[in-house]
Amino acid sequence: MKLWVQGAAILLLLVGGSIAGCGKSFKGDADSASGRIKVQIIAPGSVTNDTAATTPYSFAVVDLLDVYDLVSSSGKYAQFYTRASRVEGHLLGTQPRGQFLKSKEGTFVPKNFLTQQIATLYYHAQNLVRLETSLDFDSKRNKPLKIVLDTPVLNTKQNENNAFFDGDLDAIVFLKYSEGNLPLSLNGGVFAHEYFHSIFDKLVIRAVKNSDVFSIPIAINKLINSKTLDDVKNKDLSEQVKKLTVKLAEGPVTLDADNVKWYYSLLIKGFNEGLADYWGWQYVNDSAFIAHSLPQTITTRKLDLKSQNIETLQLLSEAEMLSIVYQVSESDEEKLDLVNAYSYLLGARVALFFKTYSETVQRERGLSDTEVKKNMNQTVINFVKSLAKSLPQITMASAQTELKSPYALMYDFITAQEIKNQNECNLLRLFLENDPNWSNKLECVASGQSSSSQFKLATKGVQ
Amino acid sequence: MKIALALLTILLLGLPTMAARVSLFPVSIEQRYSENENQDLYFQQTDTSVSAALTFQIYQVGLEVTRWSKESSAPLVSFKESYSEIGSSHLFLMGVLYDYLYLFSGVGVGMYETKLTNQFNGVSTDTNSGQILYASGIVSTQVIYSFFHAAFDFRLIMAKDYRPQPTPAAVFKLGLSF
Repeated sequence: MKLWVQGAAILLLLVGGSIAGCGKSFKGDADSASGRIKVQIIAPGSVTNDTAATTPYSFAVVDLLDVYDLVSSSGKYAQFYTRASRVEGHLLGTQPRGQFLKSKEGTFVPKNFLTQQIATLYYHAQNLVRLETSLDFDSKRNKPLKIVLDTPVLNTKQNENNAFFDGDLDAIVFLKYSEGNLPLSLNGGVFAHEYFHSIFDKLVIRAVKNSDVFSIPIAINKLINSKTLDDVKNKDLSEQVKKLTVKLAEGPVTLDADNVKWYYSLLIKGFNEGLADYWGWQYVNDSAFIAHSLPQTITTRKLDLKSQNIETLQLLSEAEMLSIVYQVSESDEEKLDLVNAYSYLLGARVALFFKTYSETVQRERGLSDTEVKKNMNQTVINFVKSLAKSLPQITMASAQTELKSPYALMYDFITAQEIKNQNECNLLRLFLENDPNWSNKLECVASGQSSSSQFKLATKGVQ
Repeated sequence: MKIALALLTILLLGLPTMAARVSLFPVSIEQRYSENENQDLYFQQTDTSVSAALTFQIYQVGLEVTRWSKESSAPLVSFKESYSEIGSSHLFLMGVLYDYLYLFSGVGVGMYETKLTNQFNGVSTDTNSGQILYASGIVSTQVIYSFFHAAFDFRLIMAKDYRPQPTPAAVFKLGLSF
């Protein structure tokens, strides 16, 4: 009994002493970190301004800003969910518990992959939210972006190696990555692509929500649609395009309401994907940004003419668009899949145009990378704003002549631009003249003194 | 400083001569119940663990060296954490359960160091935590018979990088005592 009393008394003293003395020092460094925090991430050198970066992606120490809690990497710009689910339209899930090691220099270094992902994604979310905030449009993001990781998604045909933006949940979802390349969640260009969908969703998708012609539910904005990607690559539409071109030359082609709806589904998704690809390219300054993670996209999504198998900058023609719409004549599910797949084809062309235009503007006006990004970001947002106004005005068509073509949308974009010199103007003219409606019908003319544009596009003979 | 080190050396060398019993544990198996990034708990076994103990009537002081590591990876990325701990345990005899079966309880205090190696696309970075304090609460059941000494410890370890806090651990030690 004496032993018990002696031992217990000494133990009590020791335990009490250690809890009182050391309690605070057992709090993890990350547990008390908030505000501006130095973290090691994996990022493209072009994004972190690491001029020494020799490969597109490498380790970089960056500042995370306005972090409320580093362990879950939640803050002003992002909030993470794992094992998430949709319950009555709301996103539920577990906040990740990131594990960091604080170096002697005060940098937090991720100890595992989940932590690496949340730290890297927070940084990209921070950059893109700040970019969005700097632009001129209404309904800018004023709450953290929700990002879902480590969640099996069951009700989709492709449950891995993909990412998408879910407009209903306002969340970017990264599916499991099983290929041996750069994980999608570490791919800054892919994140910027998905982030753009959130802007397009707010401005355009919500604006056309009640429109009859846009009533076909647009499939969720997956990064790729690999199931049908191969189908599209292998499907030769040239015969159908030839037939339709002949038919179109004879006179207007009649359309039923379903044809029109599928047509506009293809059009809006094509522009959404294309502008998102452009946003991704511009963020990382890398024309093959998707291929770092998904090499099979190198022939379909890389933003150069050769990869797109075209010699000049062009969109899909009217005959090609209609061939796609007529092509999709099986089950609704198959139609949706094919329209989805072809929308990436249109999207790649849209992205390629904006990339080429951006490069031309930079070269012709002698702008720095930062200046051209700022300029073009606002230009793209202005175009999205104009789509949000013009698309809801579209009414049901009964013939192909009443359809709004991709080139017609681009004509609206081009005529709204300030064209500073002949070379810029020629690029835009040659691009529009790929459409038979404008073939050899446009010319660049000097603007009047009062206009901020030096040049404008005009129809030949109409001055 | 030199005087302090000299005194410490004399103390360490002198202590065994004052002790009633000196025990060495070359075999030591430790399992910790740790938390991973998904907040799931799993058993983490230490790689190496050796210890020694000096018993003075109701007080037993131990010295322990433990190393363990864990690795994880994803495409192009890998993470390796290596931990090395050096610590002391201070146990008090709470009771003699049977003739050779003793119950001790007490605390452990020590330092640990973490080395983290992150690798991406063939390029690696190393991060070192430096020496960090840890402490533990210990309940130890020991069998001491002649030269044979075995101990089974249950511990709750507090360290700022260990999850959960406290981290439960079970240690089985087998050794000789003189």
